Amino acid sequence: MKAIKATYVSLVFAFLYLPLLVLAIFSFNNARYAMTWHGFTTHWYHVLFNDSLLLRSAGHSLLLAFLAACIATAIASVVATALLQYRFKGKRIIHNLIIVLIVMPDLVIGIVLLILFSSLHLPLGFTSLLLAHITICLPFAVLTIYSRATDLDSNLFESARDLGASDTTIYLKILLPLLKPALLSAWLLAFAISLDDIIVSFFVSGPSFSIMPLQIYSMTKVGITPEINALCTLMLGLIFMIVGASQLVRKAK
Amino acid sequence: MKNFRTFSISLSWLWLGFFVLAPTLLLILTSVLSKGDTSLVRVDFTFHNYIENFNWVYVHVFLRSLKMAFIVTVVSLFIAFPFALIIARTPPRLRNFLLMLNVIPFWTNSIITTYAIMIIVKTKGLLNSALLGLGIIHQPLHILYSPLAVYIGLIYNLLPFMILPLYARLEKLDDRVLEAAQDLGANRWQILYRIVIPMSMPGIVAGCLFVFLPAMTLFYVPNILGGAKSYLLGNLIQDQFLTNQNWPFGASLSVALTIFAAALIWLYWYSAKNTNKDELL
Amino acid sequence: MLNNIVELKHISKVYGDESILHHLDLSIPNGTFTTILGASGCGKTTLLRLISGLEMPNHGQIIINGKDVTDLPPQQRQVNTVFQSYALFPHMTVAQNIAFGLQCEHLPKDEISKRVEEALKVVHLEKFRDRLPKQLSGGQQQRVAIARALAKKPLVLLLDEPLSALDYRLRKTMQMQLKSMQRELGITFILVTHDQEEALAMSDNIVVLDHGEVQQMGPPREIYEEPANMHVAKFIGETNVLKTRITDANLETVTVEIEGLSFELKNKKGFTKADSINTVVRPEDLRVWDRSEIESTEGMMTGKVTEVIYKGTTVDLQVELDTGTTLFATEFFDEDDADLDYHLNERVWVQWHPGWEVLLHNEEL
Repeated sequence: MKAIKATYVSLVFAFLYLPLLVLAIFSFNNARYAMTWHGFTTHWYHVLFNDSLLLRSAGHSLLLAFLAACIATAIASVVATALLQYRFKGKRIIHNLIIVLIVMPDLVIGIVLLILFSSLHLPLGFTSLLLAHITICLPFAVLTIYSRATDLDSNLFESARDLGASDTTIYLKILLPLLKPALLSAWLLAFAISLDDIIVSFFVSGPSFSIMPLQIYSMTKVGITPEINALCTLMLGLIFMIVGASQLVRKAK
Repeated sequence: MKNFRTFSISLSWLWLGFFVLAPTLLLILTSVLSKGDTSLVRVDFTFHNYIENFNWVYVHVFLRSLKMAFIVTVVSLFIAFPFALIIARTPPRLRNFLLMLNVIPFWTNSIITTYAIMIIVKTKGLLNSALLGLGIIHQPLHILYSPLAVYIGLIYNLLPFMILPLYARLEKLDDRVLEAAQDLGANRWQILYRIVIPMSMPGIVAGCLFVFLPAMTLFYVPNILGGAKSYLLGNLIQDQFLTNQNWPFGASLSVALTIFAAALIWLYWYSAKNTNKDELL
Repeated sequence: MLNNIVELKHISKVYGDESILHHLDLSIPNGTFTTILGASGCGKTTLLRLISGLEMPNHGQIIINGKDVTDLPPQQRQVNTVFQSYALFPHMTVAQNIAFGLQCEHLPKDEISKRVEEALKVVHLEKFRDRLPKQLSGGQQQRVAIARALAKKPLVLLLDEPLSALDYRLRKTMQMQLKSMQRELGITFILVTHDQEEALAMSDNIVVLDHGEVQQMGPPREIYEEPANMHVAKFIGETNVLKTRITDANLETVTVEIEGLSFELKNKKGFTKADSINTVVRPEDLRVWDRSEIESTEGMMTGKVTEVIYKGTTVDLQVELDTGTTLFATEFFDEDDADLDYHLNERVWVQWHPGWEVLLHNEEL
């Protein structure tokens, strides 16, 4: 039974990792089209580093994900605090809008934002992408922070208030320090969502600011070159490092 | 930030109101306007767009999307359930490592993986080379640009979305409950059918939703891997906005899709109303 | 100095359509250790939160130190709370926790550190100032929570079931410490508890709360010995409630029939023949004899022992009377009766010291 289980798990992992592995291996293959091994080369990495368009789009993606994750986490911590601590008009609506945002298909979010930006005559580019990415990351960040915050003893906030703390003090001195791990997970999740997104970006991006997934997408149509393999391999390495680091952080606790 | 309360409430309202509520209303508005000749839309209220949704051509696309999404969901569930169950039952150290292995494909942009699948299933790709080389087949398989390639691409990209909610649920399964079942004389299958599956139902349904809905809308997967036979709802909507420039019609399709999604989720909540709703999302 | 530090006038509190407190009036004397005692759900925690300002009443007035604070937020009332869960800030050291409330007042640095030292001294935690809450025992955490509230120099310290998370022995020690702390500081402590033993042990003044109303307020002894009504009698200590019929009543005495026997008792509350009453007798006021110990069975109820529970210094008995009523009796080991030796189904005779009973109106509870 144990052997069957191990085999099954390995097979699923093989399915999940085969494409990634293929990319990594062929990024070192000394051939342009062939699917057979023609010897080891780092040629495609040199090509990649001279292909400013592809490389720049990868840089854009990382920058975008970084900014979107930071801003979304910051806003999410404020929104989660409002939802957790205060009674106000339309609180249910805010709550429901967050759920709607999670439930709404990405395709519809992309379209909705496209309509918004075009009715505002906002040119599609870096700003529209950043606003869109913050918006799609926000509900997940809010939920991550909110659900951890509800695990905190609500007496903590009451006792802080009882001791004379203002709302700002409670947010800065009690909530934020206690929610550090939640903020980190929210940031990582937002970073992943932003980096992963294709559909929303597809609608709200413009030629002035190309990002990696869309760049690759357009290249798959005109014929692919092995430097994409090299770029994907580098991105995979980065993801490995981030996931590994976050595991280490978790273990250190 | 003298008054944090006012600040936080205003910020919540501003962002969600401006980027979610207002544009959603704009979408609904667009869906009842007409296509313009020179501009994107013409202010001429009509329900024609919605009536057009029921044109057989589009209903056909919708039905095909439903069928594909359904198959993708079922296959994903059958692959993911035993997988998540096995991982959830491994000792914690190994479990964390396996979970980490799961997270990496989840984090990888699906354009990259879709592209990788394309390389593998190409006529002169890795799969054919391997099978020909091993003598299993004598003619290369024409997988790329067939529905099969789309199935593979969708299942690959959506499998993690099935695994993670299932795992989250199965991990919470109390060993003592299983031991109690065993003690009362249940065998392996009885434990599975009577205890494990019913107790993980919210995870199963959540996973199915996370797979089913995107499966209908991930337009780039059929675009890259499929041919004309895999034109799905997502592609139809995308084309209205980017190729045909018929925004009102595209908007009406989007509204219809959203209502469909909301109905599914409502059904899910309705059927699970005894459980805590916050836990479901 | 005012006589009453906290006054609640006509307070009502409603949650949704559930009424928690109705038109409650309560005055708490300055400098006392007052305990609000009641079963869970009686509204006692709500009462405390109204005094602290964490909740607002729907109706009524709250006066602290002669000043109307009904609409003031917690930080503007000179009142601080020790929460049931202690609510220590887990990311701050003991000293930082205590300093927090003072920093919120923007006091000068040296004033803060002086007050923190004072507070640490009061609770004997000087050595633990740099520890985090999780590095402390439950009792120590409790003391930090108290020190944190005391550092604010409140007029009134509110304690919400502060000892409920501690084990039995620690609870006893903390009861003593709280009481002596209150005596030393001279400020008013208002403690909320459901534990009547705790209330009796610590308080100068007990407020019995039930169904959102004050049932009785007074010193522990009065509450125990002279319960004002059936609510109080049933809540404080074990009691035997005997159905009683008045056969005759005058200003001095009532003649009553209890369990088929006739008694002439003092009429302290002016009962008339028309009143429906109960007789309440504490288990420790009942005497249980076997036939050989007594000369006459005059005025005694007869029954058999159905349960014997040995408690160390006492023996608790359950006696089923011939009339079918079950009584609980507590017998003390003393020199007259060094070996209390009861066995099951033994036939016994039960009486009480006349005058130790309490006659109360029969109320539907």
